[in-house]
Amino acid sequence: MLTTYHIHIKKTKEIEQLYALLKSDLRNAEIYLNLKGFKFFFPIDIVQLAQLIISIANRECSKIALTNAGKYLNGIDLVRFCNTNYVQPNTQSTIPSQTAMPIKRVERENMVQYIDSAKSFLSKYCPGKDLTILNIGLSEFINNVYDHAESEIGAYVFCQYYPKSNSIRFAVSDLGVGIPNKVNKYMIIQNQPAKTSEECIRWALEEKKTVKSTPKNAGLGLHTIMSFVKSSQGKIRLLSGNGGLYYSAGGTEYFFKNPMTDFRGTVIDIEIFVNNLHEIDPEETDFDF
Amino acid sequence: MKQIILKDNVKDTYTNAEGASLSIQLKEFIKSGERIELSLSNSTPISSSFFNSSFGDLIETFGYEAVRENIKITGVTSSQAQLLKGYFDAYKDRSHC
Repeated sequence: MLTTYHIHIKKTKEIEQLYALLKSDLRNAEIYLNLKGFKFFFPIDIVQLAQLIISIANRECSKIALTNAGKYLNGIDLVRFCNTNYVQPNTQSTIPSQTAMPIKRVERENMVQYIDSAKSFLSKYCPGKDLTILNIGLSEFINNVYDHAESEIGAYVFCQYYPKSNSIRFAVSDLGVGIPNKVNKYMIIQNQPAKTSEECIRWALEEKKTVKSTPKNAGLGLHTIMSFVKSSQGKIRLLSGNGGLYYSAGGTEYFFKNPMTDFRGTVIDIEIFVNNLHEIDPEETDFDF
Repeated sequence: MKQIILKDNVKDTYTNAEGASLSIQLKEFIKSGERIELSLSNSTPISSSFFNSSFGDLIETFGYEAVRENIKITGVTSSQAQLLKGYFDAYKDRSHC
């Protein structure tokens, strides 16, 4: 019997309707996703939408269609993800009419190509600026997805330059187990008491704290990114499990309860302001231990 | 002294696999007592995963001081130096625990 779902998403919090759908049996379902009225999509919204649409489509539902997506979402390739037969091009492409890279599922095998493309593309908007934070942010987040997340659909990545704020934002998301679950699983193995979601996220951001999903994990990745974001006076928005973190230059940092119920996985969005980036320093020296 | 240019000897500086490849290459020289000059000139930034599998692995095998004495790292920009300092300091503290 065919089941039809009509979902209207007008703001970020309403994306939770899609997380709720993942709990349903979607075989023989038709899902119509209406985005009319959604004012502004940030990377954190885009990667979530993409991964949720793909994940729902992978549930062998009959059909999932995006309506009222608009020129912007069509331009960044989000609409084509609705087509379950769509295969991502092997080459990286850019969108001439937008200051964004197309949404992309990134795997370890194409991570280098993606990062190189993103850096090359975004460098046009900040000539002469050191984009180490972009390299490191993308590589660390993508590695984390494949090391720790147990995500059924890998990592989704999106990057864009925003002329009005003269900033670059990039986001990486997965539909894995989430940081709180992962950390608490580790705590159980270590005979330690369970932590709250906030405590788990704080723990994961600390230097040398790792759940050792692989033998070589040393707990340096997230801490390194936080250090770079802080030193470049950027912003971080992180949602994982039922917790979240916001950090902004000037010392604003707070943890919060994820407003989306049934949220799954982790999404991290970093914003860096071009004016705060250092100039590329061509001088090379010997490393002083 | 053996001179190695990083970007010519690994496919990327982001993954565990390539970090492990570098570790294998450097181990042989350290075992034989030959010092290494490793140039990072024109290399992309090193992720923590790459570092863990390369220098981290070498530190776990030979100790922090042996790595410091046997590997000279050159061609480093200020942002690369910031990264490396953080990584090496974390391992130095670990080796003293």
